[in-house]
Amino acid sequence: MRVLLLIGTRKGVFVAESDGGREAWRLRGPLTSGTWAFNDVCYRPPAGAAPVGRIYAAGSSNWYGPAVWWSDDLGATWEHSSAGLTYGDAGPAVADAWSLALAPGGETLYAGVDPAGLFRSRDEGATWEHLPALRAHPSRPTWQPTKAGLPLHAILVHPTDPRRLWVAVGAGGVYRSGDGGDSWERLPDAGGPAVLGLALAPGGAADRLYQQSRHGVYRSDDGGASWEDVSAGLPCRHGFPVALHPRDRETAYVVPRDDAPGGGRLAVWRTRDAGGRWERLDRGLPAGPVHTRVLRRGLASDGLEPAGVYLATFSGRLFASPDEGETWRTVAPYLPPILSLTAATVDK
Amino acid sequence: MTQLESKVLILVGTKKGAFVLRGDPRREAWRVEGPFCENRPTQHVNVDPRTGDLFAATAGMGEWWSAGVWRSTDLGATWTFSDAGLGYGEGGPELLKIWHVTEANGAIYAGAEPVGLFRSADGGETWEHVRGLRDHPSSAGWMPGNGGLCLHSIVADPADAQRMWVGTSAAGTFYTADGGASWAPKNLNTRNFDEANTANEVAGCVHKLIRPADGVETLYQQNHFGVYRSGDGGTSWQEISAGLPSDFGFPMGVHPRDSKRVYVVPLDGNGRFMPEGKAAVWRSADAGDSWERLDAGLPQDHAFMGVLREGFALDACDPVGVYFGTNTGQLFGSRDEGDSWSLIADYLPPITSVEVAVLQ
Repeated sequence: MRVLLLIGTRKGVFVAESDGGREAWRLRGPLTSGTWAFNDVCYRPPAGAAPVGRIYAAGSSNWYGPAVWWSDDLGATWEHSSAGLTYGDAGPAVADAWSLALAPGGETLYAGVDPAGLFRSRDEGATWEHLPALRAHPSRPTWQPTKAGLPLHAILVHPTDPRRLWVAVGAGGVYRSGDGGDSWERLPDAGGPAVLGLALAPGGAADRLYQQSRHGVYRSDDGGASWEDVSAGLPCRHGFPVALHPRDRETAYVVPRDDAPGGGRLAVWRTRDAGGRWERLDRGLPAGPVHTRVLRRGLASDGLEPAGVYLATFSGRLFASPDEGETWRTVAPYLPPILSLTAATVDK
Repeated sequence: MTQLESKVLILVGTKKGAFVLRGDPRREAWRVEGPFCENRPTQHVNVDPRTGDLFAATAGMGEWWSAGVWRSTDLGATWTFSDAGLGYGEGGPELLKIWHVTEANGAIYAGAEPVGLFRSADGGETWEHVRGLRDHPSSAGWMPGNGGLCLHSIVADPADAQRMWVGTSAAGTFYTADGGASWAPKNLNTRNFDEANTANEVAGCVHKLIRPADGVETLYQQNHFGVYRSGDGGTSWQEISAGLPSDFGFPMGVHPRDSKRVYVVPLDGNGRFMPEGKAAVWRSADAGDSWERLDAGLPQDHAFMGVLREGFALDACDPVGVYFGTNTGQLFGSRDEGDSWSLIADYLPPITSVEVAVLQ
């Protein structure tokens, strides 16, 4: 059993690797070109007899533009494609690829781009087709850019029903599809349209979502049709990421902003009761002031028992907790700015 | 200079404001203060050595605020912003950023994006455009570098106030001998994006242009394409990159009392981080003929940090202190001219500039 942390940075993809103890980490990278920035990384487990699965990474370079990269040997060699990642001659230029999601079974891959739109690949990333229904939605004129642009920055696929999709447009709210992206419903805003983190909780009869937005942390137990404010007890309503426990749908992690004069303190906050109470987790995180951010995808969990939780900053630091957030250790202190983080487990 | 009586301040510009680090006389312990300047993107923070006034150059943000220069007359406690006179007027381009601010021959100068030079005779309250540079006939064809079309280096001759050099990206180096009224390009024998253009009349991605303080008629530059030395005021350049792990980098520095002792921070030309993830500063004792790697105390394992063009500084103490800040917010320092290093500050915002003020 190996644990891989797939790290998307402003300067290429890095991989950190550990055994199931998750105490000692070995770092490799940059594995892609260092001139590319990667906003999202994900892992498809091996199909059939393949020894390892495939790493996907979405991003762009100033010179090339957007593309999705993949590696079938855990990062040693890569290919990439942007074939079809376009709105055509009449549409706006696609500036960047922001988000990835695999449908159950791993045969369908989704990519979200800036300006916001959803693309699908059914040939493992080699070619892409635009799913036009989202951009054709009558609410599209209400979409507003954020400082990061107007990306489709989150894609969720239901783990057993691949027709059920959620996407987040920043700042344009959350959309839900029940037919694989052919039609979309604009879900009500929780605090506002500037959703930053969005996650689908495991298990349960009803679809439970958590979101972190500019306005607070919210939970929905009806697939996003209604939202409950669960920010009480957090030191700040605003943050970027939200990460969930791999099995316990009551447990969620957020990183509230701390803009104290002279620098805030780095801490992860955890709830064990679906947002009723929050506790601060900072054992092993830097004690002094930090002037840095944890971005939308800078927080991740693995699937082990106990669950590992991982924290990455825009100042290039990566921290790991092998015990669900109780204690933290530094994995890498001097990486380029980290944009995205995903944990994967590999059997061999 | 007796260090026990002096104050040493490290001035740090970041993507989220200016910071001041106050050191003890031994330069061992530092207290971080900031962010100042309303957390605006701060390209450069510098000191007027005559007065001890601090200046911070900040970028504009669309309709929210304009580019300008902040001044502090109380070592960073309070700051006052001015953009009076900083602009190209009606019909001219919008002034996006101030990249560099420095005292020179009794005035304060500021370098701007798009390329232009401004002068303040009243300590930064008001500014006047030094029009001669943009009036150069080549200006319509000036091309930006990856960071924009910026004037980032201002080099004066303390012995002759009429002489000045400016470094730009990517219109190259210009020189004036008449106090800024007329300018001539100075790029001969530097390499360029266009490899066939060896004359290189008006072009050149200068990353940093410096001049030693000890009165020797030498210029150095770290260019996008190599490190260079000129012994004739920039009229011709000689490449001195041999022996470095990369000819790419941004900052360059020179010892305050030894014009042959120069420093660069080579970076991987693609990723623009420390080559192979091993952090090092390189020093020459012979004006660039040979180079020595300095990495004692610097991280050597997956240290993919970058250092920007203003992110390196030397102080005037004895032995000289050397400092660099990274685009991931670490500040490293050496109290022995680069022989050994330690981490001075961490978790700052991305660092754009480092300067040191040694004040009595």
